[in-house]
Amino acid sequence: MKAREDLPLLYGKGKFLDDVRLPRTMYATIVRSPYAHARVLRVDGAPAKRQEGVVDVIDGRSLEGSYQPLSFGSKVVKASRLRCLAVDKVRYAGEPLAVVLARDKYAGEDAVGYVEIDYEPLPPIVTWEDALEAPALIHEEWGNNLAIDHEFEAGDVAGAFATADHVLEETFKMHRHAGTPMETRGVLAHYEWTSGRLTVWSTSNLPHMYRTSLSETLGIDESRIRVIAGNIGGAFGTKTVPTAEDMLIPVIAVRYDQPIKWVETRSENLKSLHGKEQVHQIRVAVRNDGTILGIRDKIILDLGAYANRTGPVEGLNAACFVPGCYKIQNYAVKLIGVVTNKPPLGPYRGFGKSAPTFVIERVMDRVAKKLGLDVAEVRFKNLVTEFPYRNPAGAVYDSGSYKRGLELALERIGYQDFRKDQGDKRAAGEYVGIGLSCSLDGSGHVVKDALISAFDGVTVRVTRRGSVNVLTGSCGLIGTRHETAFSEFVGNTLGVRPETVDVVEGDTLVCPIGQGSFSDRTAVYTMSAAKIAAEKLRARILRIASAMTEVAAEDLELRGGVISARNSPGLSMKISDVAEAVYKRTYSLPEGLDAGLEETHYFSLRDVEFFPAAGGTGYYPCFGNSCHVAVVKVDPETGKVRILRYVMVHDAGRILNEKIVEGQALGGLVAGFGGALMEELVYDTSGQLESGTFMDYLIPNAPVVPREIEIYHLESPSPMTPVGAKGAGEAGANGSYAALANAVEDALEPFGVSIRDLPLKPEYLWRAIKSSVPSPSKET
Amino acid sequence: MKTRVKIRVKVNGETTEARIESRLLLVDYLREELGLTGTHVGCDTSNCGACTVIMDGRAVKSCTVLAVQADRREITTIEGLARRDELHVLQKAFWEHQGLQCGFCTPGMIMAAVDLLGKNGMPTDSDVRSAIAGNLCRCTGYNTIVESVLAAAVAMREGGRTVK
Repeated sequence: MKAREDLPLLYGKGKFLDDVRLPRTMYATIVRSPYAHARVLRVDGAPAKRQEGVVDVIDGRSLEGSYQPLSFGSKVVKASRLRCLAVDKVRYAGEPLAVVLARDKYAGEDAVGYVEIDYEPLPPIVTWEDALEAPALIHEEWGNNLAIDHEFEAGDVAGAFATADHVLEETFKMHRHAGTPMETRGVLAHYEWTSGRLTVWSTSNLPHMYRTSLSETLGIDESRIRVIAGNIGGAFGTKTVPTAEDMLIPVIAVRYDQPIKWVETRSENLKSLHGKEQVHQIRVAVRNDGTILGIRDKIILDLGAYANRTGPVEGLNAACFVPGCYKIQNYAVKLIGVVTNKPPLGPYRGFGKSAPTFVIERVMDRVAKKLGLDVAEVRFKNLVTEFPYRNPAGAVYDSGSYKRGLELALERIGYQDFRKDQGDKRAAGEYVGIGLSCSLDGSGHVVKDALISAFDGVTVRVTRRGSVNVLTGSCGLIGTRHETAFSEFVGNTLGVRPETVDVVEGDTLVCPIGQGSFSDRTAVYTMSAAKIAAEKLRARILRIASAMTEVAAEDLELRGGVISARNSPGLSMKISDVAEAVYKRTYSLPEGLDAGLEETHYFSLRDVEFFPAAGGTGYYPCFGNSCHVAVVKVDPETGKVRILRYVMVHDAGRILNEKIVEGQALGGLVAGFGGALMEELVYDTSGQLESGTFMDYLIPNAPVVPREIEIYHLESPSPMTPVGAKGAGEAGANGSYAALANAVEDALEPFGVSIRDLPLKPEYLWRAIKSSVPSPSKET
Repeated sequence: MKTRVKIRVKVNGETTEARIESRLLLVDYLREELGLTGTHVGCDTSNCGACTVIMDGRAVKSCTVLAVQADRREITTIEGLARRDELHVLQKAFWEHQGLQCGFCTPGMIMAAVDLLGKNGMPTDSDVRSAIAGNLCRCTGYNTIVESVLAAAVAMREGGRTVK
């Protein structure tokens, strides 16, 4: 496969945000708080404004009243407001306080040091324990540091625990890390006051949602705002949120008659949007044969300084997905969302999925160990086998191949042989281990009464000369290869050659209103919209062809752009002939048909049942599944983990393009490898980030990744949509943390090391090996 | 007014001249002064390699080279690798083997591979991994990139071509 969107990128002709050039652009450099928690007593931009090349310096106070801060909150999450620049108080190190506008970025950076700010430092709340115990308040008006305090229970949990043969108790921690796409975030905004139109180029992969948020913040009619996403250098969740900077640049752009550009530095990026940090205090009721009877989990989510639109979803998702791929019906969960003086939590690949998968898959291994059972056997005993299946949180698993996936994965890795050899290898001082994980891969997230809804729109248009434009509400120049996927799919559905189909996404001026590209939703919603729009258009083309040829439309076929009749082999016309008739001889069209050869369809999912365990705020319609098996070797002298082999059996529903699915799966896996083994945003006790550059925040590079990664596909089409495809972007990340953690614990079994926290950095493992005394799950 | 220095740099075969601030980074000279935006900036610590270009035959990270250091030298960027209708063997291999997704790291990745194949026409899997160890990619998981570079090496040997 040669993806056609690759060609400009290969020539160095991509159009990423910082590649867009407009005359007279001013560059914005943001002044950020060095303190994690402080009162801001005074901000004086005047000395900076006197520096060469500086046009203006703007602080938070001077912006107040010129925009409406977005307000987030729901019945389970306390509202917090999104200010462009902090006023009076800063709540994390790196929070934007002022902005310098300069003629070039060098002058802007020079001037930042001249902005005078007086602070009164406040005691920082750095950990979740601080948030619950320390007297300091991050949002004084709340009276505590709790943004979420939510409970849910289903089934007979007390009964399950009363009748259990064993009750295991564990605490597992998923650490704070970040998506770090290779292209950082950025905004270029140009307001033309004469027409009242605002154009914003952005790295956001949700252009329509961004436009709505801008309209709300700025009070400009949405119809006069155009958001354009060009090439996006990866997002992985981190570009989905309207953050302070996304609002700030357009808010100040409306004051000037020239464009303003801001491009985030990597250091800023590492202090912006973080992911995943949470602790699970879990109790599990089990029977002697390995059946899980019930679970009580307490999740403590560290939201950072603000409970913004999506951060809480990490915990609300986790609350729904702890039961994983298993038949567990007695389930109670308590979710505590605390605020701390760290950057806000947001989505990152495996959003609210990699953490609960890590937890439940660690539980499976601990149960097996406790009962002296094989880790695969415990999983087979509990896996869901019939669909649709309603989990206790209210999520309905639409279709899947959980058991077959595990069987195939074990077969391909050679599980039995590995176990046979493992003892000999250990005896020879080679600490190898194997780890399994069964991952539930929800796609197409919907948030109740929010902009993240259950639809997407597609327009398919035949031009005057018979070629085809497809416009979608998704946003595809982000590595997910929508141009290739939509041109193939629409071409084949409509009956034209895919080479004649051109795809446009990511421009709110021309594209149907849609969601953008995140949460594995394009395969679910946008492809369904494309299918129906293409089918409608095909029927319309054949009706016109029927009028032109006097052959019944049912007897006509459109294939490869050629219309033929089943019973009249002599008849052959092209789609361009129909287009010519429609656009040039409009007057001869049959009654009831007007000019124009296009259809727009908004695919709208009905019967959305919001999950009660998420407080009735969230929903996923489709669930893929993936089974992961990792084989690792740990060097006990250094604590370094090497991945020797990895097998992933992936079921993302109907496959539209295998190469694209495979690329997504592999990329997701390696993101998970980084998260599980290397990446960690380390904070000191004053709330300062210690791993704030790529020097010390390590993401995987090529030598870390083993060549021996095998990906196999199963296909369980989703009954929820007409296409049956599910998302493929997150599965790799959802399941790999757990598989690696399980493999590392297995490898270190002779040392009695228990894995309860991530990441599995050499330093931490080395300490664990040196200090290890076997620590089985606590039994109560 | 900051001190300005006159430099003359051959970029993709064409001589360029400018008076620049002495602190200007090579990557900004290429991107801002010459408009060659194929060379990207992905970090501020020379770890990510998105800005890799070839200077006098060697791969350098252009975010860690001052433009004045490129005075009277020869630079090749991604834009100088192919002719309009003929892709370089590495570009072709990346295209055929899914060596890219979002494409942001791709120019740097390809320039690092140009450097490798110029020195070693028969690289092993691990040679390729070491050669691109300073080039980060967050999308592909690297294995398709490694396959692309290995395939380009084979194509070069079969075609009797050299890398440049």
